[in-house]
Amino acid sequence: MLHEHRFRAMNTAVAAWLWTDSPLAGVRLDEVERLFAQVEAELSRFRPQSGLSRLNAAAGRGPQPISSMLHEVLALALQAARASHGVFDPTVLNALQAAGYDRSFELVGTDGASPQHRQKVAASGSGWQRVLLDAAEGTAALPAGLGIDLGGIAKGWTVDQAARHLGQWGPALVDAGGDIRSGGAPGEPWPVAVQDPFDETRDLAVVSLADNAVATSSIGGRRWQRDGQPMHHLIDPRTGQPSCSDLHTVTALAPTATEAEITAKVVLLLGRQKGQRYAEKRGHSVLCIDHAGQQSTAGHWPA
Amino acid sequence: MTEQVRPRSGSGLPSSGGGMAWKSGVLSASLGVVLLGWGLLARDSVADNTIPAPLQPQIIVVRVPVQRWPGSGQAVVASQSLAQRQPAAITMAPLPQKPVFQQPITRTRGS
Repeated sequence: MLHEHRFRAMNTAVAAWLWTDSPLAGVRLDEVERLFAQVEAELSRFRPQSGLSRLNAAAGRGPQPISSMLHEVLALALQAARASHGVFDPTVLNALQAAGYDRSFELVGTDGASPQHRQKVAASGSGWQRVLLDAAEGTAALPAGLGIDLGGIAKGWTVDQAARHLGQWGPALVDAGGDIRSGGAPGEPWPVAVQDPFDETRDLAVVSLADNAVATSSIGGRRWQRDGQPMHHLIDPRTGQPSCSDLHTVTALAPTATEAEITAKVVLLLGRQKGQRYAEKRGHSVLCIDHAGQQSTAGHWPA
Repeated sequence: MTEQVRPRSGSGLPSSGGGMAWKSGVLSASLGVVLLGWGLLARDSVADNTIPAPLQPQIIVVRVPVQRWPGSGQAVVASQSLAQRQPAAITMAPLPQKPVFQQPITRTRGS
């Protein structure tokens, strides 16, 4: 039978489904909630005691010991930065804060960033190439003024971990704010809808997940005002400003939620033409929606 | 008084040496036909024993009770050949791992 568990974590709604007759299904689903809590406690930039916050606070003070979890996710983020030539960049924290996203999103008001954050981003910019990660020593070093945000990639990574964990017990699906991954024994695929970014009561498409993942990046989700100007959370590292590409929303299909999350963000930042080439080069499929609502696809996006 | 019975010489046919030869010929011919027929029958019988007719297995498809998963709409049907004279071991097709959802279970959206 199908078991479902819903909770909130990482400032978003999380749901997990497990198809099993085991009486331990509830225990397994509770373990997923604990996993999200552990990752958030270690990788959130909004938790002062998290490993990521400690690393950011120690920028400019040389190599710092970090947990294996932080090391793994940071390594994935730097790998994605290299593959995208810096279009995906985890070191945009200061730009995010300067844009006004300097606290958990539900606390972001319309007053924008604090003056110290605006000065900070002007001085540091972004720079994934300046992060030193030492696998042998289990340390990371940030130059002074540089900060890391692992928000999106940490969410996708946690979804992957949760789906793999549940998949040991049966077919499973995990959804964290639209980052969705199926796991477990192959079988009938899970149908997942793609929400219309301009009308949340409508769906644009339905994709089937069978041991793969889907994620969506959009400038329509987390928006706020700064100095009367509309802002959003997708910072283009090339400008240090919120993205102004020709795309409003991108949904990506990839083998893992981590990859889908990265591809959706990179394609949105690159724009339709270059972005679709990026996705095709990686064998991922994307559905792109521009600001007028026009759709285009690349890769093997299901018709 | 003893009456000496004389053997009868036939049924009115002339009893001569040429008549005996005719009878021997008929008997020989009859015997030949019988032996020939026996031989042919024996040969057919041997042929029947050495070249058996091919056995066609009798294929009977057994439809076992249809098993459905809740909401799946998928049937599982197994078949078996009775000519194999095997015990009623039925090979089941792989069962679906979970039901087929008719509607999306969740939605991806920008966050």
